[in-house]
Order: sequence, then C-alpha cells, then structure tokens
Amino acid sequence: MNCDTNMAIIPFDIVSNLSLAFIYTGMLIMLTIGLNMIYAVMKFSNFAHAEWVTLGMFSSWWFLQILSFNFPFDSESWNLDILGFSFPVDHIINNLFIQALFSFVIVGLLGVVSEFLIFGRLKRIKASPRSLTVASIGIGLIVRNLLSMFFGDFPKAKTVDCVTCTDSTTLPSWLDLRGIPIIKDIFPGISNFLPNFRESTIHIPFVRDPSVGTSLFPDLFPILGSQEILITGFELFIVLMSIIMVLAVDYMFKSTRFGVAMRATADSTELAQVSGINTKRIIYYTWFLAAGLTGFGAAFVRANQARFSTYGGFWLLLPIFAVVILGGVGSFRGGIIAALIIAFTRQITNIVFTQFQVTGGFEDFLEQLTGFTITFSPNYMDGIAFLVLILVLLIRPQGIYGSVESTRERV
Amino acid sequence: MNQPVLRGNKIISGYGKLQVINGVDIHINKGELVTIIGPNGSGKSTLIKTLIGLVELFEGSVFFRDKDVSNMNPHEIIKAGIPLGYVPQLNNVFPSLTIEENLKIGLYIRKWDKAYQERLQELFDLFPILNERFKQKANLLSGGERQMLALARALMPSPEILILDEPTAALAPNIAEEMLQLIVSLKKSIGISILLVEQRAKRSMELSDRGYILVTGRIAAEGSAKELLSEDKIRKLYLGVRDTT
Repeated sequence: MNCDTNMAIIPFDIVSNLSLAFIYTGMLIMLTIGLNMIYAVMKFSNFAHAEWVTLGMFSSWWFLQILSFNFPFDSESWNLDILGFSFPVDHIINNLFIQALFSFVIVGLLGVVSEFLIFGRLKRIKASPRSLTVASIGIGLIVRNLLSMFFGDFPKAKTVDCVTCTDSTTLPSWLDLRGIPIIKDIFPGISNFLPNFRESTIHIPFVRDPSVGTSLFPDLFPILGSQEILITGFELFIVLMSIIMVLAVDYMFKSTRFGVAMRATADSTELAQVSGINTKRIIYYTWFLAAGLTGFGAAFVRANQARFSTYGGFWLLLPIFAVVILGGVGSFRGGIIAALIIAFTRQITNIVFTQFQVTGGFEDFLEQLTGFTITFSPNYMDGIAFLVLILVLLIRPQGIYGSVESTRERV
Repeated sequence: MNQPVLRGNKIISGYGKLQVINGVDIHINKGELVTIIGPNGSGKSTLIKTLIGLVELFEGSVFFRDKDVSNMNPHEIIKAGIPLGYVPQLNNVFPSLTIEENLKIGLYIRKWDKAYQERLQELFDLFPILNERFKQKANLLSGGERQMLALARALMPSPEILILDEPTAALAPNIAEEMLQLIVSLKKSIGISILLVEQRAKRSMELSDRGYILVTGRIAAEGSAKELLSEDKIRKLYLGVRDTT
C-alpha cells in the first residue's frame, strides 16, 4: 500500500494528521512536566521555562558539536537486540540519550542557580508570587539574549538525513580537545548500551519503511479507506517516552518519600522543617529536577525539528502553560489529557480550516452568501485551542484533574 | 527538682534587625504543663519559634536536656534525635496531603515500617476520626478535626515535649474546651511535657502547673499556676478577671 497514492486520491490525509497531533501531544507532555512541578511546589508561574526549553535545545546541540568535533569517530554500527526490538548502536557522539542527559544537567543547573541567586533571595524577603513571576520573565530574557549573543539569533539548520547533525561542525579553536584520549579507547563498549537515532528509526515490528515513515495498523480501520498513520520510529519514541516520563514523575510526586516531602514543603515550609525535612535541599532538588527534565525533553524535541532558534522555547510557552492549567496544577496525569485536547484541537482545526479554503469550499460559500471574504486560515489553530481551553475552564476552573486549592494564590 | 526537658537562657531573638524577645529565661520540667500568656504582640509565638529554631537567636542559648540546640535549624534539631513535637498556630496541617501523608510526615526522619504502623494504631485509639478519614485530604477536615490531626502529627515521633501555639484559636468555645481537656489528658496519660501558648489565659492557666506572663518580649511574671491565679494584679491585667473579691 503506497502512501503517496492515497494522498493523491483523498485531497487531505485526515488520518495521517492524527500522527502529527500525537507527536505534538508527546512534545507538550515532555515540556510541561517541569513547569507543572514548579507551579505545584514553588507556587508561581515560571516564565523562564521557555528559555529552559531553548537552553535544552542549544546545550544538546553544543554537546553534539563539541563531541563530534573532538572525537570524529567512524560511524560503524551494529544492532542490539532486546526483547525482540532491534536497536542500531552507534558511538557515543551520536547518542541522543547522552546529549539529552547533558542538557538535563546544564538546564538543571540553571534552575538551581536561578533559585540560589534570585528566587531564594526573593522568598527570604517575603516577595509575593507576582514578584517571582516578573523575576522569571527577566531571567528568561537574560538567558535568551545571552544565547543570542554567543550563538546568533538565527535558526540552526540540520541536514535532512541526519537527525543529530554530526556533520559540518564549526567550533572555536579553544574547544578543540583532540590531544586527549578518546572516550571509546578508555571505556570500550560504553557507547553500546543505548540506542541512537542517527537513522531516525527504531526497528519495531509494525514499522514498514523506516526511511520514509511508517504505517501503523493500516488494515484496522477500513472505514477510513486506505489512509495510513504516518509516523517515524523516532516520533513514536518521543510519544512513548513522554508518557513514561510523566507517569514516572507522577508516581514520584504522589507515592515516594521525596514526593511527599516536596508537597509538604509546598504546603508549609515551616511545618515541613519542624517535621525534619530539609526544605532548602528539597527546593534545590525540585529546581534541578524540573529544569533538568525540561532540558532533557527539549533535546528530543530539537532532534525532531528541522531547525531551532533562540525563540524555540518562547513559541512553545503558551501551549505549555495551557496544558498545565487545563490539566490541573500539580496533576501530571491531567497533563496527558490536556496535551491531547490541545494538540488534537489544533490539528482538527488545521484539517477543517484547510478544507474550508479549498476552491468551492465553505469560505467561497460564505463569500457568495454574505458578500464578505472571511478567511479560515489553518494558522488560527492555536486560537481555537485556547478557545477550547477557556470553555473547559468555565466548566472546571481548577482544570481537569486539579483541586480548587491548588489553583489559588498563583499568578 | 526535675532536670528541665527544655531550657532557654537569656534569649534575645527576632526577625532581621527587629528584636522581639529581650532576654527571656524559660524552662519546662518533665511532665509539666506550662502556659505562656500575654497580650497580642508580646512575642509569645516568637519565643517558642526561637526555642525550636524557626526564628533567629541573636543571643542566649537553648538546651533540650543536655543538648545545646542554639542556632540549629528545625530539621537539624529533629534529625539530632531531639524528641520534640510542634503545632503552629496557623497552617498546622498540610492541606493538600491526605491524613495518611500528614501522619507519615510526622515520622519523616524514620522509616515508614512496622513501628510506624504500630504508632499509627496508638494514635487512632486517641483520635478515631483520623482512622475513619485516613485517605481524605486534610483540607476537607473541620477546624476541630484539623487540630486533632495536627496534634496526632506532632505526637507521631513519641516526643518528650509538645509545643502548642494557640491550639484553640478559631475553635468554637465548646470545641476549644474539649481541646484543652484533651491536652491535659495527654499530659496525664503519657506523661508528656507541654509548653502551651494560649489566648484563653485564665482557663489555660487553671489547667497548667506553671505559667509565664510575657509582655513586650520580657517575662513580666512567672510561677506556679496557683500563685499567678491568686495575684490580683495579674488576674486584672492578664487573666481578664474583673471581680477580684
């Protein structure tokens, strides 16, 4: 079954658009966890979250560039078989997990530094949550401008056939570390533990053609004709990993000793202290974890995008906030539902409005009927998504899974 | 004479540059119920917060038995094994946590194992309502139930001394009296030492062994409850008794 043929028959491939909604959902879920955690524990809106995302994109990219510049390995690879799944294994420089972990640490440290230099001091002098929010806007602007100063305010392109872009690196000479021993020689086999995404595929049984895209369950829904859900292995991986991440964080937050201590600290620092909780340490851990997870997710989001810029996180900030509010502050599982609602509303709007603009479509019909030209651009999809957000909030002001108390006293 | 469970020597403390407590000596002996009373703003809450490390100690010292805890953070005091329970005046429970989680936090420094389960059962005998609503969030409790939860949380680590900051605040008069009776029964049944700050000055003094009267950060009077209750000046000025005949 050929995908191109199907798309030629049906002007708009509705089913394949679903995969875009799923991918966007996964991306939103991954990037929402950190903001939700700060919202729930620190009780203010951290607008610097956008720049955590951006820094996560940049830092994973730096790490890749630095390593590939200094350790130009060959790219021989072999397959690692685990539970019937075959992972192509490559060297450490091409391993997105390693890059994402690097981003985790870098962005996590930014979170800790923000608390140490700014937020902690503001809280000590009893600054209101509004002041903290404004400070976070300032931190975000500073980080974004610093990134622009060092890397230029232009998109970083990646080649189409290489997800992690190890080619054509140009780094300043001071980063050239070619004199030192190669990691591969010191720790032989270290790079063979984790999968890489150089080829943009995971060889999962139902994947048909990894180099183009994949077809999931093509024969299950005959009513939809011969259309297929197109998704690359990497995109599927993002969706699955986002769900695993959010469920793991939800479990940690609700059921572990650390999670209970985090929530207790959020409720009353004084009472938590007299119960034996080192609240200062809990707060630093929270910042590190929240910022780190954002950086970790941002590394994967970057790898799935054609290009990124210093505004990479900024443009995602509003949908991310929408997911937190819609899901309910402090409810990570609610975030999954909220991300699905936002992503699918966007995508359905995209489909419907595109159909409206077809010659002889609803747009033309309205023009004939009223004499006015009213455009239905698919670019309005974010507006429609926020309209749905408002409607849901009118019914459940605390969000889908949130409690009323948790939405109080937050900006 | 008993060795004091808690002793504060020449305490000077406050917030930033503001000095609130001006050289207070205070002690609580084993098994005693000691009440601190005084007008609003006299520094009662600040004094007990200083004793447990929540307010900065500028000068003086604080001892739990022989252990010097001056300038220690509250979590350091608890981790040092000081058997202390504290119930603040406001925010005395974790509202977004369930009753179960509130009680677990009361025993945060230890493992939540068999000993925790046994302690839980002992407290359920004292406060049966907590067992009934074990999985509910604390913000769903009434004022009186919250105070019970706060007391139970503070009692989880089996403390030697319980410090209570206005436990009857915002309670209806009959519930407040029940709460005071509960505090007295705790002292009698488990022999715990209790330091109580109260606005219901006369009633709490009647139930206490000793008392301190704090005015503008200084001890204006101290002694056994009987002595304090019998002094006309104190009855008029601090206990709210008009008819002294």
